[in-house]
Amino acid sequence: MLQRDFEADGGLTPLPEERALDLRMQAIAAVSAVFEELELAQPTTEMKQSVAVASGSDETRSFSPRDVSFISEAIKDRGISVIDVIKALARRGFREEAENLLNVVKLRVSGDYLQTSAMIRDGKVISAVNDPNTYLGPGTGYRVTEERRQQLNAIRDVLDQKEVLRSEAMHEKEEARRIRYRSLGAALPGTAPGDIVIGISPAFGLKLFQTTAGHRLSDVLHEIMSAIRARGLTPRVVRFLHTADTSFLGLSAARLAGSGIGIGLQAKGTAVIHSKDRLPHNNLELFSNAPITQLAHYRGLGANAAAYALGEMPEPVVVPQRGEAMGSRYHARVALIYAIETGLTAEGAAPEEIEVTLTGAKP
Amino acid sequence: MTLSRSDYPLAETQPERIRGKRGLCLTDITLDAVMAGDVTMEDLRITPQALRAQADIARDAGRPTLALNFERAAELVDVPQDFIMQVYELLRPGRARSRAQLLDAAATLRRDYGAGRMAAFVEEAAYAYEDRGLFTYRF
Repeated sequence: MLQRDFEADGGLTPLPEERALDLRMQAIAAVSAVFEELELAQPTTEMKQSVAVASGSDETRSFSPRDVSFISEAIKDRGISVIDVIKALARRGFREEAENLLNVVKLRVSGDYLQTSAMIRDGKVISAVNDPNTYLGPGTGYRVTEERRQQLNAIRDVLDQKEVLRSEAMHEKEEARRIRYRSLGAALPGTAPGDIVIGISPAFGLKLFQTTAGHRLSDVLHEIMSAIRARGLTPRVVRFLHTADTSFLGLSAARLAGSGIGIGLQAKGTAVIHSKDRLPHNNLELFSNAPITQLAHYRGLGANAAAYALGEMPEPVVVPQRGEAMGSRYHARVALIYAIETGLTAEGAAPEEIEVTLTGAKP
Repeated sequence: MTLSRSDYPLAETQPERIRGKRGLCLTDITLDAVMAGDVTMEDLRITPQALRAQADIARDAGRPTLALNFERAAELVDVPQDFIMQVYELLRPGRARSRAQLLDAAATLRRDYGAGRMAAFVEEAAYAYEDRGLFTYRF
């Protein structure tokens, strides 16, 4: 995706699904042949098939860690080397694979690939020595050729806006049974000190119906609103149409709120508590990791917004992070969700007062 | 003979001159030779000569620091793995308790393995670690 969208050629060339599957099957057959030929293990048909189509390790039926440690021990004890693997491949008819492996090992003898930025292309070594960087500023250096651009564009498993909208639409009917949003016209500044505004994003409940953690937006609103009500204050929902940015949703909400406290809430679940007197982004609390934000956290956010409105200094809600690398997993979907949100914005569009009716699920 | 960047990549410009420890050159290492049992792991390991050739090339390409790295690597080819790992561990912050421990390792490199450049590198580290307080026990 980065290659295609930013034309940052990372050297990857996408394959058609069928070719990729063929290669995978061939690789699995070759590896299995080596295991058998060297009498290390007997991979079953079920194992082989599971790894060919798996999207992750949860879907594979492979050797257990215990099996693997026995295999490793045997390799060590019997002194099995890459030469034995090359021979095993060739003996079982995988001549091309044997040649390839031998060529990889031969690279070690000359050490050409140890030079700066080296990579192997079609068996040849390219590095900063024989293919130096000629970048001298914009418009110079490596340029993607038209042919290469076509290759980069042919990426598999493309996730596009249509696909995101289609998967969201699957939740539309269900949400329609749980929540109604009715526009009451232009939203006006509140005066009551107990007035807390929840600023929702343009596509919230219109085109997008669940957070990236998979929570229904009706449930998220329910948690926030009931937590505010529990402190005797009044939540008011306003849809903003001039921005889709969480921080500005929160700040604009705060400026409309009689209490001066607003919550910004994007459909993907990113949320913020803002005060009207603070600089943009200098928020009171922020849930930046929507994929791991749970309903209880949203409830806490509502409770804390109420506490700030009552002049208290509550303990901020912490969303525990366990070092998950979420960026790459959600990058494409979130970029598309945000594009759907901003697609509904208009310069200077006035905020709308929304009457939210939580109807609950009907059987 | 000093090599230059025009000799790079060595495996492609002079495969018959790149030889393993037993004298087999790259063109001798074929799948048929492997199947006939004529190729051993010894033939698939880099030699000090090849590493020094890469040092020449790196230096000619304007990378003197990388060239020094290759030259130190050339000295390490025949040093036993266990000793290399021992020195490697010792060079981690907080492992060596004093400068003397690193200087001892450097002396062994120079005396037992003729690795003068590598020894000088470890000695340099010994003084740098002292300056930066890396001999302090950490765990």
